[in-house]
Amino acid sequence: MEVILEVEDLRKSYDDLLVLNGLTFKVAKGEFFAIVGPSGCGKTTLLRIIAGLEDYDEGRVLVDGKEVTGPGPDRAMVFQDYAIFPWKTVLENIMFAPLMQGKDREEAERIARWCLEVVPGLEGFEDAYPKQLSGGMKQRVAIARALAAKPKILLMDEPFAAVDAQTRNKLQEELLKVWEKTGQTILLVTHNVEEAVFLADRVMVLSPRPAEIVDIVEVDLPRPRDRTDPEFVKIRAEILEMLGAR
Amino acid sequence: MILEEADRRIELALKVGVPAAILGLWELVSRLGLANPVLLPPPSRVFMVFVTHPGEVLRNAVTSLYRVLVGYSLAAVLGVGLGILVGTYRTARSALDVVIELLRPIPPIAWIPLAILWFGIGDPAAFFIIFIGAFFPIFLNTVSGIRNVDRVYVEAALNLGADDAALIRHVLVPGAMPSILTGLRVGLGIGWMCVVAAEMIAAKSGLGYMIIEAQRVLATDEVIAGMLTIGVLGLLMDRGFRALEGRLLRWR
Repeated sequence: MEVILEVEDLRKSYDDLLVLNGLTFKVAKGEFFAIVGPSGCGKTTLLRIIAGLEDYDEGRVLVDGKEVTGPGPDRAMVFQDYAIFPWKTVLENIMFAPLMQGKDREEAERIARWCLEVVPGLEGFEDAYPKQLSGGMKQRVAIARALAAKPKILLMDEPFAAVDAQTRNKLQEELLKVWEKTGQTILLVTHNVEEAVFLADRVMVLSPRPAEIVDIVEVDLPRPRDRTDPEFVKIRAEILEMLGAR
Repeated sequence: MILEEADRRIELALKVGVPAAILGLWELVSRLGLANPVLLPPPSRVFMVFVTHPGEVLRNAVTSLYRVLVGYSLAAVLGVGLGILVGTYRTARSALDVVIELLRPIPPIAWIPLAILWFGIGDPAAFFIIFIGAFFPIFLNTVSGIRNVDRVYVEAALNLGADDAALIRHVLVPGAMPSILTGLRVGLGIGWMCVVAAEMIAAKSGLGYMIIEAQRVLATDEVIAGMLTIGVLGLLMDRGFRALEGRLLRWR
């Protein structure tokens, strides 16, 4: 198992408020790794630290063996509130990361077209502006845009929290297909336990603030998973138990 | 608001009818001698100015437009350029904040005496006054536009590998574009006011000069014709700019 992300005894506080209290875990290359925790526990902070958008006080964060010192496309992120550029068309949004990596327009467009094939449902919308898209479509664009960066690890911060339940299930299934097709390492932060169990190889459960690791649960079920399968329900209940939600 | 077809017709009638009625009343008041026709010439006589001296009106209008073009272009380049710097970099803001805040409340007209001493009577003095007038709305709108770009887009761009230059070009400037265009449009309007003021005092040509000269010989018809020309050209510039805004901001 090749390790792509290594977090060691990570601590972070805002002024006197301790948020992350010594987290240590590893994520393997190609793994789908989910992080769940009660809201406000610091799971988004953890993701933002890995993304290099926030600094930390103690510990180490290594991506592919290299210390994280700032933001970068090797850790492309899908934000909760989409964050796709409203002044760029769908295609231009997806071409952004390749262009930033110094690719010429032709190559950037080739990569973007490939992403449009991997992420379904965007055909015919290449030249549309985000305002013309629904929430689910915007998040598809955000996923395609992040994939185009060809990241070592794809970071997702509650990506489906803002869409309705039906769209959420559909997007989860699509994301699973993207993962299967690309072999992309994915780190997903969510407060939705069912989502984590449906998608991930392993689910890391965090305690309320200051966040500590309660457990890392292996989800050894074949995909596509059945949300009503007794084994699925059992794992979901176990995690909910750890979160103290029952 | 939902308008019935009949309401629309009433609206149109009002839009055309009220100005026509005002013109008619004005003509009548002036013709019947209810007002001194030297001080208030009838609109028909004002209109005749455009027929009898079209060259004079046109020449002066072109002169004024040329001055606005030069002074405004300088203000646009410098206002947007400095605005981007000040909006993006804290150090630039610290450096310029006090200077700008001190200069901003001085009305552009108050610069005219100094402009005459520095540049003499003529084009450069007018360029300067227009520049001063147009610069501040352009600069200030650019700064606030840049600073109001949602943080999340900046983070997304950095996350995807943008450097400073790319961040400005792909995120800050397009995100601030609605505000920048508002500044450019307001600046154009103020520049147009400034050219008229500057020409009344610091020039020997242009629409401002034309109406102040006409006033000296009591040619009120020419004064009003000049005023109308200024108004119509100002309106056309504003409309033209709004159309441009609509095109550039299709994404909104």
